[in-house]
Amino acid sequence: MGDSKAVIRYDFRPGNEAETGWEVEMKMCARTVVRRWLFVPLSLFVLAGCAISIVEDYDPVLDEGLSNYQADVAAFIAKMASVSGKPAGAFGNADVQEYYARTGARLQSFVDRAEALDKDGKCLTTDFVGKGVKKVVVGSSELLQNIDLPFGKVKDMASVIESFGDGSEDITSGNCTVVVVKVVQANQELLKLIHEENDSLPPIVASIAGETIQQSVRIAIKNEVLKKSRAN
Amino acid sequence: MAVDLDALSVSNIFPPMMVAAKDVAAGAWDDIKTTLKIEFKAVAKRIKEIGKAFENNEINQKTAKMLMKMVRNNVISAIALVTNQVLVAVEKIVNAAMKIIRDVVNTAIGFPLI
Repeated sequence: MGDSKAVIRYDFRPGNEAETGWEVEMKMCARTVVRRWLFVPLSLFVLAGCAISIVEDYDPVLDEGLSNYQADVAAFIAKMASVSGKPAGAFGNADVQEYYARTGARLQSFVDRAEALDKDGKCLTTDFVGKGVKKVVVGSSELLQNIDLPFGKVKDMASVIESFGDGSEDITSGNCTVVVVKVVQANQELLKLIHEENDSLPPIVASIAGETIQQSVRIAIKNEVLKKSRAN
Repeated sequence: MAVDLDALSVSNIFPPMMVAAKDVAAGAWDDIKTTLKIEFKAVAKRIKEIGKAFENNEINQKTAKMLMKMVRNNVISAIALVTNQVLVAVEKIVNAAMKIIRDVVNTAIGFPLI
């Protein structure tokens, strides 16, 4: 009985009823199911010469572009922090406006490239989060205010926490590469709005915004490196 | 040409498929854990910094809101990255299993059919 091939052969031997018990029949049945419903479809995949691919392709242009942007934005934020409060660091400065216009167009081209990788793709987890995050955050704002976070000591923090969910649906549509690139774009846009709001980027703001933007770019680059690793 | 049908049994193909899948899955899970640890720790650090700066009146409420939104965006981005890490792991597991089947079938048949 240790040899499965032997079990099948004994089973079909005429007059060998002692070997064709319930246990042997069940084993045959299970094996048939595995062969029909698992082995056969998998074999068809192999026969078709298929290697499955369920994630968007690696894009070397996107990878390089994100790395260049990472260096550019770090240099820009460091410079803005050093000239904060001076005309060179003002939001209305021509060089500052040129930087935002140039990087804005560049990041839009990254989003377009990522969308072209899989136009109908959906990042299922973030799509779900995008729809749910606002509800969850708004519902939790009272709780968050009462726990021992720095926010808990500050008045009128509810509106800050509640704003956490705004616009989450916009950046979570598209395939997962689109989502990570849209986050880089959205954070760059927020940096611009923060700059406009303060008319400069004070060192504390530059530090927090800079680290946050660096994180979003790092995630987007990691995503490209991940897709590249499939080929190895 | 004689085909070794015995070599095509499930017991010959399934165990090495499982071993290949287990190896890929273990490596992928380590990568996912590392990503989550690094990215969520960074998120927690930023939230604390925003709260502290707001409490010390170093940033106004509108700026705090926008910085918080940036952090929220990074949470979504980290989830998207982890999603792709899981999907790439699934790809690798299925393709490793396919390679096992291909090798067994080609060996049994005696020439590279697949």
